[in-house]
Amino acid sequence: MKIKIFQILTCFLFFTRAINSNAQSSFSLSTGVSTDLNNTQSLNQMPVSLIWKPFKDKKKPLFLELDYAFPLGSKSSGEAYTLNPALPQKVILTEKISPYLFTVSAGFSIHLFTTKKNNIFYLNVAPVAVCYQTINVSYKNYDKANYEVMNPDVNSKEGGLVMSMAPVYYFHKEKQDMMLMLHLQTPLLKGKRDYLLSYKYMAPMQLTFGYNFYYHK
Amino acid sequence: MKRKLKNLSMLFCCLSLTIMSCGKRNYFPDPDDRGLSRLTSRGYNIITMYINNVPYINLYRRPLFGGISNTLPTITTKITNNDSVTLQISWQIEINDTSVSYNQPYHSISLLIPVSKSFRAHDFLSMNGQRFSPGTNGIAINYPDNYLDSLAGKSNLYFIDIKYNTLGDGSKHSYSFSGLFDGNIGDSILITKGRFDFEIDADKINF
Repeated sequence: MKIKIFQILTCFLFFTRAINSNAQSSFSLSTGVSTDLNNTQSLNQMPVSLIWKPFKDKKKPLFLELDYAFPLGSKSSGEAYTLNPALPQKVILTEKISPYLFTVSAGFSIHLFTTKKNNIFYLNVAPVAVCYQTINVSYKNYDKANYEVMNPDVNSKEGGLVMSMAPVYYFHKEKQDMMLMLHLQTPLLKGKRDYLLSYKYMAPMQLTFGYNFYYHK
Repeated sequence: MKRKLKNLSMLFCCLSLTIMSCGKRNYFPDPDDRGLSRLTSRGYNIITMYINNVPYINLYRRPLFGGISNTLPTITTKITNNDSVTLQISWQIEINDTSVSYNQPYHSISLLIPVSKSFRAHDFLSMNGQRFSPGTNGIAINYPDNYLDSLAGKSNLYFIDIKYNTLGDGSKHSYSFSGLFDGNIGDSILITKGRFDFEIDADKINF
């Protein structure tokens, strides 16, 4: 996993340096809310997104993006059963699901249009990205000694390739722009799990708001 | 020529190893109960339990071709005397620890459920969701050196889910059943935390 990220970063840095070393660069930092489009139960998160664009020049539209998402309380339910005749044979449990997500993506920006006020609308496309999804699961008020959860969810740590795209709108200011981004990502591009969980691989839709800072090399 | 033969034999060895190592058995560790699989109802064909606090699991087959699969239990009705019939669900077991030697203390275990003489498949399906009263059912254990002889005791049994499934184009049918059990044979053998999840072809059931 770490090697893959390092390889992508190295390729990206090499590529960008090879193109131009005197261009104006920018980076943007944004945060907001995220929901998952691939699951019926809402796996909500608070994402933080960092995008580095080495060039402002529209002809060199490469970017590198790091996304990390923290969990916002997501709940589901589970059923537990017991043989103990002194206890109810079935109880419903509250299941707490905490999803974390880390994505490294490299891609290019497609310039869609610029308004009279110099606001710019881009479409960021990352054809190949690496994503690491961690989901922690716990059952509340669970009597482990007497009850067994049927088809329980368990913690998972899974990584793989994904694709993503994001329409981004930059509100022009002098030295920094404000930005609004809707980031869409596919689920992990890998086969089914051996053991079925109640949640599938996440496909986050992130709406973030932040700032874009310019700097000169 | 010799070189070609050498390459061919190496290729054959690699292919054989690949075929023989394909697949893995169904076993999904329960984080709360070391050595046991989770309670499931997905036809994973797995049964695990503690016998005197040692985790046991049903055997698995490792054929030369076709991958690894967990063995299925036998499920039959047996006439025990003139008036009663017993539904018997039996399976072979081994200690769920690969570091343990081949000297297994037990060969197989059976759940024994008294049923009526007219017991049929629909009666089995009607046990869906039924937690039997304590002491209603029996449990038997067999030893490797004489697996026809068994020791019997009392069990608790809960069929959480029993389903009749129609597979594919409708020509194949199966029963899937999952649940919990425990029991004891005297004071010396204590069976705890048992859980099972099976899917069996309908034509393998004799009632």
